[in-house]
Amino acid sequence: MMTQEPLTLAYPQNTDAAVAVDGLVKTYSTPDGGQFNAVDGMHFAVESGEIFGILGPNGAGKTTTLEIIEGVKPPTSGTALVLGMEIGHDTRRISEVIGVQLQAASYFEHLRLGEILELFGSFYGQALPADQLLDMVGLLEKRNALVRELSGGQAQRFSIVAALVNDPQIVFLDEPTTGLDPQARRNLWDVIQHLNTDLGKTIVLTTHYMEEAEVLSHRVGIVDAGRMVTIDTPAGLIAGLGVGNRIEFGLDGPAPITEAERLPGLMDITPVVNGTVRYRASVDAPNLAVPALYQWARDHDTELVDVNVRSATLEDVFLATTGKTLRD
Amino acid sequence: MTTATASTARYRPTHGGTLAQAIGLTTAGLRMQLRDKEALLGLAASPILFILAFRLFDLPIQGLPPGADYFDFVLPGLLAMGLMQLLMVGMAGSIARYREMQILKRIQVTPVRPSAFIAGQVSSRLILAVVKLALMVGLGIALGATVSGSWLLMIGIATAGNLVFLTLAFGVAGRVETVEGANNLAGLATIPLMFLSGMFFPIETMPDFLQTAVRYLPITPVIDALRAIALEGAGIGDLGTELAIIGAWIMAGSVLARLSFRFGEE
Repeated sequence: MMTQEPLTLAYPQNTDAAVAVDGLVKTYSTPDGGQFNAVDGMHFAVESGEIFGILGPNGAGKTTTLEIIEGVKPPTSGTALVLGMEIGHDTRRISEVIGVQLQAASYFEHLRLGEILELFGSFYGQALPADQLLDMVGLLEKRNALVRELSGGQAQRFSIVAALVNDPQIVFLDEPTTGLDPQARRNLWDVIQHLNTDLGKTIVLTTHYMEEAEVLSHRVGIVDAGRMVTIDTPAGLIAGLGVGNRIEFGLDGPAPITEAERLPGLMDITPVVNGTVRYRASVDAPNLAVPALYQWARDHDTELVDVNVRSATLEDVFLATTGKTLRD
Repeated sequence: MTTATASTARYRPTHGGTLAQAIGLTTAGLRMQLRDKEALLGLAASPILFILAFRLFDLPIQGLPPGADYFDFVLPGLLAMGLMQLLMVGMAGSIARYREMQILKRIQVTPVRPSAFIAGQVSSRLILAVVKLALMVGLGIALGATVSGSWLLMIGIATAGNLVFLTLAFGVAGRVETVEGANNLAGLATIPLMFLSGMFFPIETMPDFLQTAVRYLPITPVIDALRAIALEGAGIGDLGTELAIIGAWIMAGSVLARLSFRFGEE
């Protein structure tokens, strides 16, 4: 079982936080005349200089939360402060110091990359030169290209660099690597880490890839159904599970699986239906539990198949805190 | 004076005020229009086809100066119609397209003011429309139309009319979500204007009760003024009433545009 200690969910009293979100609610009407809270009492604070990852499945309210902070839409209730400025009140001043990459937004079709960056630069009181920005993400030789001529990875790198024209203090990235191949994804991770480590940007990013949250984030907030469930460092979240390993296995024939809970070091056996029936369990002593499980299967005239023993990940934290998997 | 810090020195100079934003958007708008080849072709081809088609007809129109024919009468109407179609339908469609592509949302998270966005869109289209106007007037003259007054004044008046069309497009499509919706709305708005403003047929042949009302539609004074210049050689001093109505519509259109247009849910 997860030992859940009280985490840093409380609204921070200091206004030094880069972003402080308190009791944010966004209500939408549903077609059947009902109401639905896409964001349902969101609380969290982002410290200056950190990469804060918001991890959750599609529909958890990640994008809506970011869009409220960025000033795209007003909250139904609740408040958020960006560098001490209140959303809905200091909107234009906030927009001068933040950089935003939206999930699905595109850019003008008939403008070249350099021209788009210059146009966006003209919107701000200060702007970085287009060439310097393009060079940062390896797109300098594409300065005369149109957006539609870019690969998926290049287009994502461009949309990140377009969020940097005003040299913002805080950068919001909404699912920056969704739809990219693994290599393009790693490439983008390098860019994001460069922004944080070398340029000192505070970064708030959303993702539904647990690996991405784990690799990039100093702290991860797990969101489900419009609420922040828990916040900690990736290592802290995993350590909070108490049990450090997971085993997944299939069975070659029928066996009374509930009995296996009595085996030493094996707990929380749950079926994972994914084509064939498999099981997932927590293991706190693999050296005892794994041989015992093999023996138990033989005792029931069957065999374990496709056994996979691994360290616990954020995926397991997500499952333990929300009862769901990220892929649901 | 202290020296600039290293961090400010690497910024390129920008202003970030409404004017700088509007100029940036105007330049970008012009580039985009010039590179959109299909749209550019439509811009040039459709008025040419209309002018050529109307050259084929000759209807008797009462009260024309001696020597003037139906083509002389209809050319100012065609100028107004060509511009109205392209500017109103084109502008409305392009706002909706920017909304669909979430470009408006992307701009919303920058410090751009809605008024700067409207100004940039309107002026980039206005500049290109002047070129188109000159082409149409030139073609009309080449096909034998009489222009007894100043053709420069004609272009000036038509440009003022264009400003009305463009601000009305923002008024009509300022919040519409889809390109189809915007095209339909703008199309619906242009059809009555086309027939009630005396584009093709004299207002004098309409029922009496309508004649006074249609004088105050946004396009009627534009067409009246263009006809007065072309057929009677009217100068700017003769066009006080028309200019007053056009001016009022520019102001009303701008207010409507500003009230109606939204980047997104605000």
